[in-house]
Amino acid sequence: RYELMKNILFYRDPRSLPELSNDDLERHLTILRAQNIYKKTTSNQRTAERNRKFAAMASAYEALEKADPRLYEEACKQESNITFPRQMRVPTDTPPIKIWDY
Amino acid sequence: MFCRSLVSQCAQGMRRFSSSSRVSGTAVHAGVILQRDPIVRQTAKGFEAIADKYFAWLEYISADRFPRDLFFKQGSSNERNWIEQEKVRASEWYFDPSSKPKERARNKLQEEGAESEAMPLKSVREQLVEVQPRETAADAAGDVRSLERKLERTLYLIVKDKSGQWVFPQGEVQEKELLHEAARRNLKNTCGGKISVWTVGRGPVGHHQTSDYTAFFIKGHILAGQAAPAKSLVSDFKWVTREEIETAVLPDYWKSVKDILSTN
Repeated sequence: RYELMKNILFYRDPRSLPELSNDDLERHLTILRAQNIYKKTTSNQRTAERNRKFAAMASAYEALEKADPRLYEEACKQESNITFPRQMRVPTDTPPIKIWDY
Repeated sequence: MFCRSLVSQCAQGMRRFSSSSRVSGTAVHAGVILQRDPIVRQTAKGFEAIADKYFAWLEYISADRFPRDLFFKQGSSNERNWIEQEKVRASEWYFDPSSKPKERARNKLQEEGAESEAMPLKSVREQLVEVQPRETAADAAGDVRSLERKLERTLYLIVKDKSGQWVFPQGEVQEKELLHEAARRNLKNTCGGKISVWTVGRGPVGHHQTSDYTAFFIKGHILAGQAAPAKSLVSDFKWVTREEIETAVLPDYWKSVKDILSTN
């Protein structure tokens, strides 16, 4: 049994794909390229969304400065030791039995 | 003429010292964009799902022989389940059909196949855990007031104000009050005190300008509870996704608000 484990952990040949024909290789490379494109586009979309959110916040601060300097001053102050509340849950793979706490 | 100018001067003086007027003359309102964060993770959809399947299959076929004797007790239900899964996987092949191995001699599957039962038994773990459906009763009913709808998405609270328009809960900022305090107070006044909210920071995430006032929005996360609208201020409420807000709200309002909201 220990021999079996030792063989599995240390004495195994490196992995390899089965033989790919020309068509197979082309298909595989196309899929890889498509995945790269997909990843790039989704990443760019996410970044753009974040930038838009920030721009909206920046313009809100500018408007607040013009509208009411006192509120603006207070809004610019940063609280120290900010933490996320413990009740804030992380999304799970499947829903909980009791979905919402009323 | 003298009287009129005196009156107008008095009026201006009054305005300057009134609680809701500011330097430029427009009032400041504070509101909360209250969101219910996703409860469930997003599953891979479309291209991503298919690509994941392909790469998982690639891993599978290029992997070493599975040491079945080491992992499974002979004749156990787990072993039987694995054999069933292997039989299903044997039929998968995404390369040239001509290169597909005819007989996958993996651990004498065919011999065992005849012996095993028709239906794979659930493992003990699977029997104990019952997976809840991702589409809830609220989804089926289309109950827009429910917090249990669309578990994958972010839901935002919008309320129907006196003029019949759908807006985020908001109200005036009083004298000597800070923006985030005013926002919380207005939310409590419009939607009741039975919601547990975490407001993020002291400053706005966005604003909406009208002729009468400028409304500044503070971001909030609902942690527990449900909105109970005060009938005097607000006639209705609903929890909606970003696209649903676009259809519910006036175009001017949407333009101010769309960049603040998350697509997910």
